[in-house]
Amino acid sequence: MSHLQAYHTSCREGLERRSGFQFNAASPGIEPDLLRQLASSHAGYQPPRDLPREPAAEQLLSFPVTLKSCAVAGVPVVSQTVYVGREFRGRDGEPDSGRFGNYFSHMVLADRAAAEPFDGLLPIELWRAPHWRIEESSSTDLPPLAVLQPGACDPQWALEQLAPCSSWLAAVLDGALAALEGGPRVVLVEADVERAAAWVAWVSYSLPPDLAPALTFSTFTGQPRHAHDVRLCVTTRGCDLAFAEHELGREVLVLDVSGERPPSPRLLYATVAASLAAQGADALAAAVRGASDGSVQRRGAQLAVRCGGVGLALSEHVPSLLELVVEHAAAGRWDTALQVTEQLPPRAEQEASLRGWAAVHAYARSTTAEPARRLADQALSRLIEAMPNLPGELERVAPDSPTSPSPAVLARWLERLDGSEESECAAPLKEGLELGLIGCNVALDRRVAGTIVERFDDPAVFQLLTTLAGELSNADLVEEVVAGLARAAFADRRELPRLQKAIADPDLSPAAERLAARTEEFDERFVWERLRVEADSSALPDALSSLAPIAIRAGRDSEMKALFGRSGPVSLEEHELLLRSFERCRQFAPAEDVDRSIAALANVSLAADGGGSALSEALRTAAPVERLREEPLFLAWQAVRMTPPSVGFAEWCQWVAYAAAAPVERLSDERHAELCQLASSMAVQALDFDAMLPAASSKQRAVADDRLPSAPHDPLAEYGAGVRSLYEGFRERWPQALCHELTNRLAKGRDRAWVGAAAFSVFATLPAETGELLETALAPAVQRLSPRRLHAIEELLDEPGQLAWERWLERCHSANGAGHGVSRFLRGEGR
Amino acid sequence: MTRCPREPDEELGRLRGIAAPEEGRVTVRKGHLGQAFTVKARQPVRCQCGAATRPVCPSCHSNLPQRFTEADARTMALVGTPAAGKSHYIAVALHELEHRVGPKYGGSLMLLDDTTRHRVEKVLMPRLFDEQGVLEATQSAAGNAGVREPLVSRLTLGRAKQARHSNLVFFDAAGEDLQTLSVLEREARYVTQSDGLILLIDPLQIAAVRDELDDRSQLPPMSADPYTMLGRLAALMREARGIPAGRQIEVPLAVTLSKSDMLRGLLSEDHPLFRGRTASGTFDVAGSRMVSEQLRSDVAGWLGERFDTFVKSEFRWAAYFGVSALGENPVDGRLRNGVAPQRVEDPILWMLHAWEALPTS
Repeated sequence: MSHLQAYHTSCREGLERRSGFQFNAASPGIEPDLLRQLASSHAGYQPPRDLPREPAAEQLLSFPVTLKSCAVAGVPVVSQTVYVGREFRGRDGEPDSGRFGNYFSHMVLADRAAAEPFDGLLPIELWRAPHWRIEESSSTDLPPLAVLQPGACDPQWALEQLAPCSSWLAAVLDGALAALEGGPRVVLVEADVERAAAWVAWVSYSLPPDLAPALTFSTFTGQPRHAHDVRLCVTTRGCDLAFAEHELGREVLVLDVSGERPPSPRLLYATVAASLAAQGADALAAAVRGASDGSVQRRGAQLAVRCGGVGLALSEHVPSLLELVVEHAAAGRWDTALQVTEQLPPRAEQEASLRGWAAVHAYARSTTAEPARRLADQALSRLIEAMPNLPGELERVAPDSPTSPSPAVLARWLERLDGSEESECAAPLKEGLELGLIGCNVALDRRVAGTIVERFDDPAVFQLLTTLAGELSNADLVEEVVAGLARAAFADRRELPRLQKAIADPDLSPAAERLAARTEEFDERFVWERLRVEADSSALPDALSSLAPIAIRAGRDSEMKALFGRSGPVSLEEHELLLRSFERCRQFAPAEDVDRSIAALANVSLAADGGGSALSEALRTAAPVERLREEPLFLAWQAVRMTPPSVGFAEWCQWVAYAAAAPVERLSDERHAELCQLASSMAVQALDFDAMLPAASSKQRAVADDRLPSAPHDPLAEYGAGVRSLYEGFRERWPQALCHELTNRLAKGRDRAWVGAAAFSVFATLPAETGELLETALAPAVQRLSPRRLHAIEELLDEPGQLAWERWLERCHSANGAGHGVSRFLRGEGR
Repeated sequence: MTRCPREPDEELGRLRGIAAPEEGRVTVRKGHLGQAFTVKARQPVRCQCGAATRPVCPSCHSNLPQRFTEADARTMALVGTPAAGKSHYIAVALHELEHRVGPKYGGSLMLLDDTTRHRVEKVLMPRLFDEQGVLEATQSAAGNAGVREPLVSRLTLGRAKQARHSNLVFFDAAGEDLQTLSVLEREARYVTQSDGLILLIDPLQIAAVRDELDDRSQLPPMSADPYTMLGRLAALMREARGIPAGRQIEVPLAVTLSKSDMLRGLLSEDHPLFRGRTASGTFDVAGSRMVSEQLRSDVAGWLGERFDTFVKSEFRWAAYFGVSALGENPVDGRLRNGVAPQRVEDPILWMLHAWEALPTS
């Protein structure tokens, strides 16, 4: 070990080779710049003004001694400065001379190469150490000091010195700790020289071992206003203590330990350490040796937990203790964690404390350990006590956390909830949500839901409810609320708007849907579905589907239509929806609904399909065949729906003919005419026998032909059968309609000549009971054809046919009077 | 209210010779007339966070009195060899300005800050006027940061509308700090920024004077000679202010012989230094010039012509003064007859006159 050293004093000659204040001597290893900084930091002494100005040698012994620890240029330095009186010390038996004001500063530098700057000693342990000198050196070169020896200072000595003023121990340590954390530096007023050092020793020995060497201090400074470089300095009342108002409390903390009432310590560490001091130096030393880290608040908590000092904690210390509680719990030391929380105040009001309790609660809820519930209860009870004033953005707890609070604690929250004013209900609810109280207990949720229902009109409660609905975990509660609203609405229609409000909300509507889906009672379900439809008309099909089975089971299927409003379904689409809802249940619709649907169909033109086809299709499956086969309108629409005929022309014509044969009160003349028009159109199209066959594609037909035994097929016979049915159904309206259709067809369109030729060929073969179509329908239709068109028809006929064609035209001409075109044709024009 | 965080103050650390201390943030405010502290009457300076705080020097960040900017500041640096009597001079000069000169001019002296008040009222005055003892040796600024803090006072001379206010800022220094150029530059940089210089010469440290004295038992030790110190001072002023050779320094220099009571046996009885003065309430320009001329020749005789030649060549305004702060040479650090100052205000009034800071009659 090697410690460089230097003396600074006023002397006749020193390193600057002049008289006055200067370095009297120094170890050669100290650089000039470091020497200058040493003088600036460690040299100087301003004697207290209440001590003799011109002290005798024996009086000098009572002057305060400065032991200062403060690093200079990164080098730890401890110095001792004593007041030596006159400028020039006596030599060779001469008395001292010159003005008063001289001091002697002896500075010792840490061994820069050693791990322990002062050979394992705390700086304060160099108080009265044997190496300190107060006499000038005869040489300007000082040899480095070897291993440093401690002085008179140890914990026992310090506590003995401070026994008369032990009430100040906590306050002094409190100030020093705060100063180490960047708080105001401490100026301690103490006149007793030894006790001044004892105060520093008390602080040094009380600090955690890793902090103690960092304490910068001075056991005396005559100018405390300028002692900026140390966090703790001692002075006397004879020195300048006139700090400005703005400095006190912010830049400097003045502690006059001669006062009777010390300020209350703010740091738990100080309070606990002071209590340990009362147990003796050994107890103190053993306690502070324990591991600690972090801020002084945290270290205080660690010390308190380690030494059983939690009971000394004030409300401001709680956050640090709670931080430790979480750590102990996480490490499996549940007993310690619980012991700490049980000793803490039952009420928490400060925000930091509440956040700490929330963190404890969150951690306890997140684990599965057996004591976790007790810890969670401890935390939760404090949080509940503080409701509804918990700070915002607390640590969120999932309701399905592994550990849930005990029912007793949850009941306290419920009491607080129920006891809150109506306008203040939202806050505890929200806080309960954040703390994971909602959703963690079914019985509790029911009660909470009841409260929400009661205060549903409070905008804050409603908003909270929508927030709850946004989280899957709260689904049950939200449904419970909506169910409550529904029950109220079913019991009293005046409550219905509240339920409507819930259902109309996009966040709550899924809950309503889920709830509605589970309701099997028709009346309730009907209300749900009706409200759904009112809120969103597109929900109607789903509502019908949902309600239909329940209505059928309840025998209330005829009331289904009320979902459409008082007048029931109006449009064809609505009728179809209603029928389809029964169809999906594989259930026939009530006869009344079928009749209403058919009545609706009666108002729709067959020619312009405004949904009639779809409705008739719905009817087909929603009503018994017995009912429908008697219904000409249904049959008419079936014919429309099967256009072109997919069942064979003859069969299709039978359907049509059956409908056409109905009396006018069952099928209006208007629909009758439309149906006849449709049939004539089909009859003209059916002239193309090949074209009429493909109800299936040609490929399908080929497959069918391969599989099935080739059935004899006579298209002409089938056509004839069909036309005969139509004639029987429509009678005199039929030829007219067919004529009209042929006239239009022959006048325009592709293959019109072919149509004419086909009609002539087919109609010529039909029996008379088909209506004499050659004469009644085709003859009027060709009257207005041009000779060229007539020739075109003729050319499509074979030779016998052509001859027959000309004869038929001549016969028509003579019988009915030919048209201008026929006459010209017969004269041979137009070829 | 959240206070502004503290931050390292490099300027203040440089002034104090320590690592940058954590201090409040220094904010320079500028009014429409330029930099100003905008201190309003009966209102403290406030930080940006709204808390009451203090004004500081925008350059070195040392504390300034709250209402420092309400008057022109005149900075006087006291330069002299060790034991020349600098601290005694400042202490007694402040006392005289307050108790005699101020009332004579119908004015007053007010100490402006806590440091000044504490030092003057608790240290200097009790020691000199109550205990009738000499002051302790001023410690080097290298080891005593308090030495760097000046004594700040406001001198008001004249009444009513004719009153003139001047903030007098006295920088004291340990003689040791002025003896070498490097120390002078480092520890007493303020000297170069002063508005006026008082070079205090201890006649008892002049060999020619010591030789003529009968009683040499209480003489101080000899130190650097005044000529050397003046040369060092002039060089530093030129360097710091960038004054080229051939151009004079425009800072008034008061070459002041301290302990003039000790010169009574060496100077003639009718020396203007010892003539009585009437309480006129105005600065006696002619009388001051007469004293200066006479002392100029006396100093030339003791220190040689080169001293005066140097003064004339380097400083545009210079005058010689003779003062005695204590009125007698203390014996064993004690004043037998109490403090009896003589002409201590002369250098200060001369400078105020040079700055046109004295009220017109």
